[in-house]
Amino acid sequence: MTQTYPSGRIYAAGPRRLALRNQYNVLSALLFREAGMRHGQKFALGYLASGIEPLVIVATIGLLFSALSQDPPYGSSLLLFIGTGVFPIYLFIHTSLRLRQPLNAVAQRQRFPIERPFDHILVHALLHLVSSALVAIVFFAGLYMFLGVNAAIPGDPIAAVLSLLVVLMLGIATGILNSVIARIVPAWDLLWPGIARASLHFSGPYFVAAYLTPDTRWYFALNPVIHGVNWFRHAFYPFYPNELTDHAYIITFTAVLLFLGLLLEAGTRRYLEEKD
Amino acid sequence: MIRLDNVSFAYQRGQNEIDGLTIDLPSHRRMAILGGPETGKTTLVSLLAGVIDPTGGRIERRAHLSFPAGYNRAFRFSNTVRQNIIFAARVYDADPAEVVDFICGILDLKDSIDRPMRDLSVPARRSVAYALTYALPFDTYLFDNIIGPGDPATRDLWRQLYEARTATAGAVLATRQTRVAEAYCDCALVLRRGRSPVFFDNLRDAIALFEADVAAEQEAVAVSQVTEASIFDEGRPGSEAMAKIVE
Repeated sequence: MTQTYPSGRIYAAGPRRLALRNQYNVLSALLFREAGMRHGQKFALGYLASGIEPLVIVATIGLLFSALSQDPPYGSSLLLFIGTGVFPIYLFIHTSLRLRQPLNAVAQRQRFPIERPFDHILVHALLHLVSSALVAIVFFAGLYMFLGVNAAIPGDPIAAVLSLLVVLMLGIATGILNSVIARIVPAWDLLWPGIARASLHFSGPYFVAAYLTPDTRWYFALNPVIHGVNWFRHAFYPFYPNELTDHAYIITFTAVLLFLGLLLEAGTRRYLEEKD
Repeated sequence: MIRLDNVSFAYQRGQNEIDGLTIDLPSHRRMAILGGPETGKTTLVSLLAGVIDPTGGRIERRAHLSFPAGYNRAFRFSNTVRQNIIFAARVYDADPAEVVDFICGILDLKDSIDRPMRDLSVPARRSVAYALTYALPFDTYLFDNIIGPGDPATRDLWRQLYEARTATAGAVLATRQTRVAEAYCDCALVLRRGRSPVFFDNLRDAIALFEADVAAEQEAVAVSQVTEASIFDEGRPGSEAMAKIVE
């Protein structure tokens, strides 16, 4: 038989370079594969599909407010105000939901040994960021071009990107924590989507948190997502009332949650492997 | 070289399947893992491959080790065979086109290469998984019991692939058949029940020890069967299935 045997391309590189190269190989291969899949099933552009939900929510709230002939709570464009709220919130919700899959017990057995769970977490988070950003950019660009909303181009793009990254990190931290909790208490898988979607209304998509009465708004300020929303809105509205917003709070909250999630994952790994 | 440092592994909080194993194994030789049933051959191969993580201790792999040959759990059934092969090739740092060509060259896949994985029969999936193992470049190939799916018509094919790959790379083959070890390996690690494993540079010595172990075990089993038979009067097989009613 005169087959040519495929050969490796990098073996002389040394162990450290080899590890980096392996990491790169796994991440890039996963990125291409998972982009066309959803829950392990083939689904072309599956990740863009999750962008439809925030659009529907923006449309519903917009329709409701126009039907009630309400003025926009802030600024001159109702859709822009709702959009600046709903998109960061959905980035959080979807990331916290979808990241349960990489740490799922069954999914972990359906992999090559070289793929580690955190490769999957990284890839899924990245895909969510890219797909959410794509849908959001289309939405805001559409507002600017077709509805003539000049404020739809953020005056402070760095703040917009930074706030979204913090919200993404919060989503990742919640997702990791959720995936571990769901394996200990399986009912959590049914509860969390409801809780996450209900939290939409407490994160200020259609009201200005700083305009709430002083005795209630501190309760709202406990929700870290609202700080992310305010941060994101500040990038669009330079004079957005910001006395409630505490960037340190959401960052600290994210760091603590991430630490707890990783701690719980490492602490229960053995127990969970034996459990299922 | 593969360095195992105090590695232990237990299934389901049970007894340690592998207990405090500290040993250096060669990665560029053809090594057999000889052992009787339930001495931890498969467990050791899975540990080396990284399919399972050790309960204690650590494994230092100074070589690029394969997954256990014929590993097919990572296939996505809704993706086509070609997509699955390309994914594996990318992950394990080979040229995807080369790997696909190689597999098409040795297996008769015809047009099923562009059909979803779930359309293939189970033996065909196994063949793809084994062909994929040989197609990917590794320093050490890990085998659990067999070097290829046991279809008599293709036996020579897998043997050729094995010889070609292990001409330049190492192999670890877990087996309890000394003939298999003689045919495919030239050094061996003997796993022993209740005692620590021994590595032999020379396969002949390893087989001698392994066969002595097996003989001793058979003798022990025979002795225990005799004593059992004397305890229960009815030595006839099947008599324990009939309940006796005490009157």
